[in-house]
Order: sequence, then structure tokens, then C-alpha cells
Amino acid sequence: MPATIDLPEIEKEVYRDSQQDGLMEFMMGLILMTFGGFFYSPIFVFYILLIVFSGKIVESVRRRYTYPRIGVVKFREENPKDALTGVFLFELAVIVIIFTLLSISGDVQDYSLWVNWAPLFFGMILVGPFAHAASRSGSVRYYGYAILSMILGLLFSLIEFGSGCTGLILYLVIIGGFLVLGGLVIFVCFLRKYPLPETEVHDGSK
Amino acid sequence: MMAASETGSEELRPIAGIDRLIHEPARLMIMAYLYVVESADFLFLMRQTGLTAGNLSSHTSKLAAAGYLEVVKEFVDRKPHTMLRLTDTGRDAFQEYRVGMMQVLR
Repeated sequence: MPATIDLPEIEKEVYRDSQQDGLMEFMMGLILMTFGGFFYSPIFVFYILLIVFSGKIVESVRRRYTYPRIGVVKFREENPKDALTGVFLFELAVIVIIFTLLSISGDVQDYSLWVNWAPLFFGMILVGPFAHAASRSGSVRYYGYAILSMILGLLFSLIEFGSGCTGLILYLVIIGGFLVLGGLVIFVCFLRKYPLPETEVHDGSK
Repeated sequence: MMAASETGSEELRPIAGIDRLIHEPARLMIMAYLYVVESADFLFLMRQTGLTAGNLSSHTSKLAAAGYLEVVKEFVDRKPHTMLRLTDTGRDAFQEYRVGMMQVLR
């Protein structure tokens, strides 16, 4: 019996355990890469389809590979009102910060200035979901993704790319590619760590 | 002397109210894990608690018989799949147990 029963810590541990297949990273990376491609060549339908079906795709892969290995856990849904308020406040803070930065660095009505700073804007937006995942799981790797997305966003905003959205496209493809590759590595490690049980676990019920 | 003894037994009386069904270590683990989630399946609980299938089945049956735990049967890819979740009674009982233990052990 454990010395203490720390329920918030148990909840984090369970969440961490359920996300150890890396599929969320993989799908998020794929969405970001596709979004980058959308700026290059508007394959709008594919992007929308990927977003709409991302949950179903992840779920179907998990049914085949994850659940038979580690089992299924469903979490209580967060209060949608709290979640929406959190998202709204976070996005508002991002807009205020970006607006302030642009005001300091030049004319806010200059379209090219917005385009130049778009990678940082996206980097800051990405901090939101990563920080949320980090606080929910207590996993350091999500903090790492959040820091990386910010640093790369800043870097791609400072580098001169010449015309159009090149900086933003490169940023999305690189950060997305990093997540896709990271997710794949985690997934392969997961498959090796948890081979399929030789016999199917039976719950003993009739 | 007598008065001191009575005072002592008064202080320890809440121990008698501790839910023995939950107090058993394996069941306490099961209750704690199910308390923080909506539901989980048998394999997931086995891995988290480190119990064997037989032990887990025996403990979950006792908790289900007490109305603390609900067994939800569903079909996934045409295969039967069993999910376990705490009932409202189970959640209340676990919360009461926590409060009771905190009162007893300070």
C-alpha cells in the first residue's frame, strides 16, 4: 500500500501512461505540416479532412496497437466552459503580446511585418496545447515541445526569407516534421516496450 | 484514570466507521485509480495496480456487489469489451473514506 494516496499525482500518472504511444504528437505534427503545405499550395480540403478525422484516425490506430497492449482508459471530460475561457484568455494574451511587439518594431498596418512575425505567433499559440498537456501529465517532454516551438518561432521570425510566407511555411513544416518523427520514434519504442500479451486478458465476468 | 481511558476510546472511535471494503490495500488502489478517471478496462487496471487477473477480478466483484463499481459491457470491433467505472455511491464512499482516514491519522 502506498504511503500516501496523492490523487492529482495518480491522475497525472494515468494520463502520462495513456499517452505514451506518441500518437498525439504524430497527429499534431501531421496537421502542422499539412497546414504549412496549405500556405504553399491551398490543399484546403485535405487539411480540413485531416482535422475533422484526426481523432477518429488516432482512435482507430490505438484500437489496433495501443489498447491491446496497455488497455483502455477514459478520462472525465473537462468543463467546456472552463476550457473555452482558458483558450480565449490565452489567445487574447497572445494577440496582445504580438500587437505590442509589432507596435514596438514598426507599423502595425504593415502586412509584411505580420507575415514576418507569423512564425512567432504560431509558436506562441502552440505553447497553449503543449502547456496544457504538460500540466495534465506532468511530463517534461511537453514543456520541451512548448519551449522548442517558441524558440523556433522566434528564430524563423528573425531570419529574412525574402518573399511571402516562406518563413511561416518552413516553420510549420519543421516543427510539424519534428513532432511526426518524435511521435514515430516514441511509437516504435512503445511497441517494443509492450509486446502483445500472448493470451488475451479476460476480466473473469460472464 | 478511568476518564483518560474513556477519552482515548472516544478519539479512536472514528476508526470503527472506516469502510473495511475500501480499506483493503488492493481495493483501495482500484478505487483510487478509478476515482481519477471516467472508466478503465481490466487490462489497464491490472497494469496500474500490479494485481493478477484473478485477484483483480475477485476484488472488482466485491466492489461491484457493494454498488461501488459498475461494469459496463460494450462491443469494440465486434468483440465484447468490459469497462469498469465508479458509481456515484462508490465516489461518495471513497471520498468519505479519505476524510475518515485524515481524521484518524493526523
